[in-house]
Amino acid sequence: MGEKDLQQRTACDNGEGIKMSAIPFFVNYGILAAFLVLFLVEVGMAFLAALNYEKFKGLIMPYIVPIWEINGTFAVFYVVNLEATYPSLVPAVGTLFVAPLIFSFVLYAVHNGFLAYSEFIEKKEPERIFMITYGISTLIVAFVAVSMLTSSVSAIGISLKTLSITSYTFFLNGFNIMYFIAIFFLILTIVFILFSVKMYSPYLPLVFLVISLIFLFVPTYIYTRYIFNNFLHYYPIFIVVLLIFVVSFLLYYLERYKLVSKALLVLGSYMSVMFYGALEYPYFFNGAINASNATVTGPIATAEDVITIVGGLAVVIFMAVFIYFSYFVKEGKVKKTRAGSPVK
Amino acid sequence: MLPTEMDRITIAYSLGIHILFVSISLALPIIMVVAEYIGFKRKNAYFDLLSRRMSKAMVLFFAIGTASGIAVAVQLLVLWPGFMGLVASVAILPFYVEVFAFFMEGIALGVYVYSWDKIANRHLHMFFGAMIAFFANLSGVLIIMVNAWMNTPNGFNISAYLSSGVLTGLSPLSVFATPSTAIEVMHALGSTLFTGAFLILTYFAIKFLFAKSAELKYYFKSGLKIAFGLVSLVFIPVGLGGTLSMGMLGTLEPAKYSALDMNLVPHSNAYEYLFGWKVPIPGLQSFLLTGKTSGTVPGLSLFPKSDWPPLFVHSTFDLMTIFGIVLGVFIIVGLIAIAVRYYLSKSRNWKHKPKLSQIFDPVYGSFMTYVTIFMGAIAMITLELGWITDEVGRQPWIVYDVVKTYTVSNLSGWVIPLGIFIMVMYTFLAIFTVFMVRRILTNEDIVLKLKDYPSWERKISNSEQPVTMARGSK
Repeated sequence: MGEKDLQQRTACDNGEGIKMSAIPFFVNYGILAAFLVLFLVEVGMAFLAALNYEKFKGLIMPYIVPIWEINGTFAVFYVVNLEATYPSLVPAVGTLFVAPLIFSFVLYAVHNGFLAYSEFIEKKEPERIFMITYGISTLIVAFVAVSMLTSSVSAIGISLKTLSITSYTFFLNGFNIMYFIAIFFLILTIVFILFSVKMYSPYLPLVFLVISLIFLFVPTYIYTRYIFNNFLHYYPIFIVVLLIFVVSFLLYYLERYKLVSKALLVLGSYMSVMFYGALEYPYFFNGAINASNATVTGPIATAEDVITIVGGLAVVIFMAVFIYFSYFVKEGKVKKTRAGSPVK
Repeated sequence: MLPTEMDRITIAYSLGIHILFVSISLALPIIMVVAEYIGFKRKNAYFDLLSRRMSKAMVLFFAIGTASGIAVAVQLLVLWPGFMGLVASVAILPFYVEVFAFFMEGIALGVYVYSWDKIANRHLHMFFGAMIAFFANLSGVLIIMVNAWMNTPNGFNISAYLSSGVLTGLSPLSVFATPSTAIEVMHALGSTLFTGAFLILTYFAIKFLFAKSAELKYYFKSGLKIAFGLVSLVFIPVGLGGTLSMGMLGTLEPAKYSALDMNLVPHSNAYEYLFGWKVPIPGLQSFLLTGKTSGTVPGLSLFPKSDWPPLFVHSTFDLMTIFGIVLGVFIIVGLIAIAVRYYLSKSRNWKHKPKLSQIFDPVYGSFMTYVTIFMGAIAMITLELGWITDEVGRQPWIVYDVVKTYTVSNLSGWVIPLGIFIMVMYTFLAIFTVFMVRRILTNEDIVLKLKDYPSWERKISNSEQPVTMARGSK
């Protein structure tokens, strides 16, 4: 598909529209969105850790400690679901992203390791060094991961013919840099509100959000016109997402229903990623690959659907129990649990 | 060095380290929950504290195991893109179910570790501990299912695929039950669990020997008892699975079988060879494979030389078998010594207990504790040898008789520097994790922590006092 042709086409006017066959695409995107929201908050925490661990320690550990294992599992879930949904793309994706994938996942191992070490180390100095190492490795992983995601949208810095990347262009193209800035400011917005970080002005999160939106729209318009055109078509959904953010901000500034405000922020972030998926659908690599044509069909697809529903339900039930014990039950409930004789 | 060689070295190195972390992650939650249960039932502070300590180590092993598991999954995708393309089309379901098992394990671990003092009902707490063990081992079963599929592929029309390259006749559920799945799960999961339990047993044995107080000795002895129990229990399916595996290979992977037994030509009345030495029992190999001394065993001459696996697998196989037998003898001797001591402790002649039962008792005797440490190293080497035998023995095939390894590897020049990077990082993480686990499990404040418990929970009965008091213990 020519670039000019692509710029003229939108998902709607070329008859692609979002149909039932789009479900695997959005299931995959839903997993990505869940991982991104959890991971990006972690990136925000890692940024604070690298910036001033002593100051933000009280915010960081209570959030990260219970959930970092689950973040990693979401990453695996996304990779396996991607393989299961688009088996025909696996050889190409594997060959193309060999360097950034390996680099980011090995650094992810470092990130996991140092977080776990710092959790149980009892001395202060190694804990600080471990957390800074964790913070820096997380930021590098985030940059490489964002670069892979943006290149799967813009196809800048990669060659689908030779299945190779040009490192310089891959990382340092305008689209990637501007998206990274946008995501970074979005992370700051989320972290500042989610953890009530008070620095400089209380309106800083609002400024961050505006900067983030500018850095999202400009490269989308310049580099991926078809996504921008789709945005113009689906703008009512964007208004809904924006309204969720507005309500969340209002509640935050009015200091009422704080929990609702935070929940809306997480929901808004999740919906933003899903909305972006709707804009990108059905293409990858700036229109070079049509996801609908690469999606698995037949008995294997049915089996995957059943496993997703059953496994997903089981995970949701366990997650609910986990969230209940992690965030709603205080340690004081059982003052000291001794062998066989819990003291209530 | 060619990229395809680097692909193999990188994945072999990563998996070689990964399976050691995994083996401990499979055994640790079982030991942890059993310790909690005993502590709860007997109101014994030592077991309760042991369980809490084990859970902290579990988090570390889960963190590193998870991260290295993710790295291995990504390596499979990027170093063997053609292979993963086939897996994604035919055999992805075990991986897909495994993700959910992995999820459940992670969540259960989160609840277990971070809600220890939040859940008043200890049975509920133990339930989450049991869930960690269950889902960790289920993950192991599912991964082995994919390996079994690589050894005995099914779930698609193989002849049509070989002739046209097109995948037809897909039957995704049959991947869960290939002809080799049951036996491979029994042997591979059993041996991984066995090694993990043995490594933990070794840790307790070292700490027991060097403990400086009766309290510490009792604390580490508590762990020793549970770990030895698990090792003894798991050894039966490992041995049985190993024996059945050879019979299965003779039928389903005759080239691999021939290389493992170094049969150059098929013949009847075949002798068994160990490191080239002929076991002087006529027809032993034929009997082991076919049940008859006159039975015919396959030989490498049946296959083109290009399809032979590297013949050093015969040595790794023999070493694995001999080490397995040595480990088995160690466990049987230990169990007999425990049984004798138990019998004598019930009789009136306890004062005149024979020295032998003390010496060979792995829980009470210092001699066997030293031997345990040596056996721990043997168990670790045996696991690696078994894995090398299985994987190298299948070469040159990545999917037996369907896809050759070199045809699906990533030939990009990137894999050489990245392979070196991966190996350096893995080595660093492995060494650092062992160092950190040692620090976390250090016994510095165990005696201090024990003081949090009521004195009646800390009491060590006379009959349970460890006999062996190592240096400095008095």
